[in-house]
Amino acid sequence: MEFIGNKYIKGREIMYVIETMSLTKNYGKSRGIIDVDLKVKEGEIFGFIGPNGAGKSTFIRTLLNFIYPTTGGGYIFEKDIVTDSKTIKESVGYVPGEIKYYGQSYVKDILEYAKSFRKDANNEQIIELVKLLDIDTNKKISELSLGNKKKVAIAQALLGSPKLLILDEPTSGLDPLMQKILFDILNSYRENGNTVFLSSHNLIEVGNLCDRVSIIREGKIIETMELKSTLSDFGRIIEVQGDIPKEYIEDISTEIYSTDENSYKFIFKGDIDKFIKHISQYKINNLSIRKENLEDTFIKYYEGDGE
Amino acid sequence: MVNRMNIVNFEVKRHFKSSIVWALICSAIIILFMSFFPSMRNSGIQELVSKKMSAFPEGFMEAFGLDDMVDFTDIMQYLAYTIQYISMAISIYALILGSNSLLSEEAEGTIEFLYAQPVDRNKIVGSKMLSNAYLLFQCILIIGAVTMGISAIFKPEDYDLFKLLVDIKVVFIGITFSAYIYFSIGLLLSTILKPSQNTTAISIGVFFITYVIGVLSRLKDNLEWLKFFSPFDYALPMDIVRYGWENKYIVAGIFVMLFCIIFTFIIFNRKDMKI
Repeated sequence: MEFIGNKYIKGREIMYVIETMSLTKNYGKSRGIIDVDLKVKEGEIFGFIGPNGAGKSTFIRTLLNFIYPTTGGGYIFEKDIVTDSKTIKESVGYVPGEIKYYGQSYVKDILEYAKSFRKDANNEQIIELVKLLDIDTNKKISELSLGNKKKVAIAQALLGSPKLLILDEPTSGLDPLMQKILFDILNSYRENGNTVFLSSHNLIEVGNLCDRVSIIREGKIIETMELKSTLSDFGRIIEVQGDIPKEYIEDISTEIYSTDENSYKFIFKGDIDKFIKHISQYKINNLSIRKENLEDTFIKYYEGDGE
Repeated sequence: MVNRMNIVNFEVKRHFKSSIVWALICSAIIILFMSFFPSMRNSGIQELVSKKMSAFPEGFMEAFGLDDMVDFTDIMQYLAYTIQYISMAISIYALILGSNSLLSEEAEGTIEFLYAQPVDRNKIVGSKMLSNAYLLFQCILIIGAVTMGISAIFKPEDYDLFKLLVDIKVVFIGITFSAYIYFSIGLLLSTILKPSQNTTAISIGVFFITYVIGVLSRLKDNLEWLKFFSPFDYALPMDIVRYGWENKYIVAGIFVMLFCIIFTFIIFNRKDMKI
């Protein structure tokens, strides 16, 4: 049983760390985001995916009060994203998509500067993060590669142990080893009861890391789904060629991609054991079964047939 | 532990060098000008200049503040005349400081770091204002100190040192007053201009527009009201040396500063950051 307003799930009180209600932002005549309703629960890693220009960064910037909503509103930790922005940010760490820090400043100065804003940040934490992320603090920001800038951004976002991390494309520019370290950090961060909201193009990273994901297209949320509950949302993509009646395929499939002379491609979300036993009575020429993944879902929506 | 002055300290550290460079260049020019003073005083140049200058039309002389012929043998008049150009440079620096203070964060994208921290917009504006006001003051203070030092070296023996220093102080208070008016105009510009615009060029343009208005205001008596649109003329060094302060321009200057500062806070609080 889920109450949106009172925030109870099955008798246990849960908190929506992020909650937006019809959040809309227009840039004059051009679209930003439209009527975005989103709820991110405490202790989850929430993915936000969509192509360039879909409205991911606009949504994040509205959450952080860089820009004001045109209509609608939202809460982070039950505080208004517009009027309580400063208080909210005491509990939020942010990693921007494109790191534009003070180019002529040294990394150590940037980390010191970030520390100066945070009540709970200290030098030990800086030392620990610098070691973990392998950051050279004696370089100027302008001398760093994209990946190294990203590491500085991640370190400064983690200072003061914020309860919510908002990351815009966190792995862009990071090498695979550093991506793994980041994922480990985010997983242990979540295990400590904290919340992560990340936007990404990288569907594999979102698929592996996130508990839930929302897909945004042309400024609108078109789907929000559970990922960690495995196959309740994602089915299996089956390609089969044989003398199977078309009516049977139509009956059991959630969605048919193609049919062509006893050759079918469709999504199946039922009992796979029953399915295999049933089709074994027909002559089968070819059979391929694989789990539907986030990429399939994403592409399905973006090719226009997911609405 | 949250450091309340963190933005101020960071900004001062970041722009310290440019403030020193402006101060050193202006100081070098003053040293150069003042080193000419003894020869100016002793070689009869004043007579030559007076003769040549009298050939110019009266309007031209008024426009450039030469209507009452400058006495180049008087160290304060010589200094006040030459320092007008330094005052222009300081005013331009003040405008650039003001207009870059908030806008550069958006233009360089660093606002995404700063405003992601637990800080409200008023603190950003207040801290930027304070840090840049300090840098401007530091620049003027160095130039003023150098001016006093070099003037003391080149002053005529019979000129009272204390009086000279007090007069220079008054001139620099005037320069500081004009500079802070331009600084506050720059602050307001930094909330209105777009990050993609060249703020330095626009700042220089704004200064020269007001300067030209000031020149026009001196051409005819019935155009004197135009002087209100030229903060540079509120406390011209030569006018202060000769006539002292004019209350109406002090009031006008304070009004412009308050207006610009109040609207800087209001607009910055309402605007969408452009990243």
